[in-house]
Amino acid sequence: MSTTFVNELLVLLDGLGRTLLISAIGIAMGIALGMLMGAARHARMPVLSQAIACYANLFRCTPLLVQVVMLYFALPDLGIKLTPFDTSWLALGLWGAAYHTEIFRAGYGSVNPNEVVAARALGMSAPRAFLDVTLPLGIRASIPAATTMAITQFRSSSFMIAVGYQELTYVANRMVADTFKVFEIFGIAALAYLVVSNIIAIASRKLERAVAVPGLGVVK
Amino acid sequence: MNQDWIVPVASHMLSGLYVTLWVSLLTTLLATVIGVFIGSLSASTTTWIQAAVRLYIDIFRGIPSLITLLFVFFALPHAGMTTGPITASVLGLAVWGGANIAETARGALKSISSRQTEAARSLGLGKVQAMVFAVMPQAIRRFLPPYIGQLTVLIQASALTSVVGVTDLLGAARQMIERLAYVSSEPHAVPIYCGVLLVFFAICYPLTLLAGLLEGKLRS
Repeated sequence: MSTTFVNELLVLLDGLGRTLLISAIGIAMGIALGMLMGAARHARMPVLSQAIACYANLFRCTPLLVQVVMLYFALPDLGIKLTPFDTSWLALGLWGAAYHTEIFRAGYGSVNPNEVVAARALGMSAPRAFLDVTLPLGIRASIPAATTMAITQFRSSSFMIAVGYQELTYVANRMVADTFKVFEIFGIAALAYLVVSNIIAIASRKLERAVAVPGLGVVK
Repeated sequence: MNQDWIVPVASHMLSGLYVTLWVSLLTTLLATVIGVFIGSLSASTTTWIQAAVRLYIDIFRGIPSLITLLFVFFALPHAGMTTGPITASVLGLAVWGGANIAETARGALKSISSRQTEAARSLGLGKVQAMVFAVMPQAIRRFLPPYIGQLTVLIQASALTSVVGVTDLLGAARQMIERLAYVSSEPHAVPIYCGVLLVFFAICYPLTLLAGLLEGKLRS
């Protein structure tokens, strides 16, 4: 292996590190906000529930790229200046939260209402029943869909090329423009995305099995 | 506040919107053809065809759309084909979107019991005939709701063409903001980007409503 190739690999690895960093923050933020906003939607809190529905629709029906560009280039006009790094994780988090909200809302909704009735009959208050019954079961039910969304967020971190954040796609694109090694560089970048996507998927399946409630949700 | 900028900006963005719609339409058509064809191939009983379909779907669903777009953009001239950025974008996005649509088609076809195929075959229909006349008409009802969801993803992905220098809606917006920054001290980024968001929302929101409606019909 030539030294230039090793150097290129190191630069790509550096980019992958930044991709992982913004993805991790964005995914954590998206899931956390999604759990909260999904709960508000599930509880049909007046006003708040409608406001969250508007938020989710707005972010899901417009391209993430436009949202990213807007955060970075339009917010300064309102006096808010963000660095490319802050723009990246914030955009991923806000955009992801819109999808995670619907995912967790559906997850909470999939919990058998009789469980909640039983909890209430045992004397639990409505919030207590939500926290101790609906939430733990609903989160378990949401794991597969939330994982798919988390992987989508991870892949979409490539859009941060638009604000010049030096993540994997940015450095790969730069390198291809300089060296014209189209197949090698994009091949390695694609492989890196594939490997990490699969690691997330496998980890999620392990998690799902580890936290499964015995006898619950088992068909037949 | 001076309002003179609105008309020239709007007319330039309208030409950008035209490009966005054109790219979206071509991408959607091409991705649908690729997706339905490859998705149908997954019903094949030949092992290597099944493996090839699986490989295509898994690879392109696991990597960012932007990577395929950039790859095609750089690889085509490398292979001696001179194409504009619009053609490269359409091809790149269609190959990526085709994998998502293929997965949707595969799932829809798989959801139809194999007894339907057996019954059709025993009535004397050929393999392809059984697929086209017995399985597909039943599968299309399950295919449509997620397919429409995929369409909104592809329409939103058309904004990525601005990364390779296409003057689509987002690209046009950016150009106008830069131009206005020279001639005026007033900031214009917020209203212009809001206009971009609004246009995408106006296209994608009705589609998500339609998908929801079809899904509700399917459940009942």
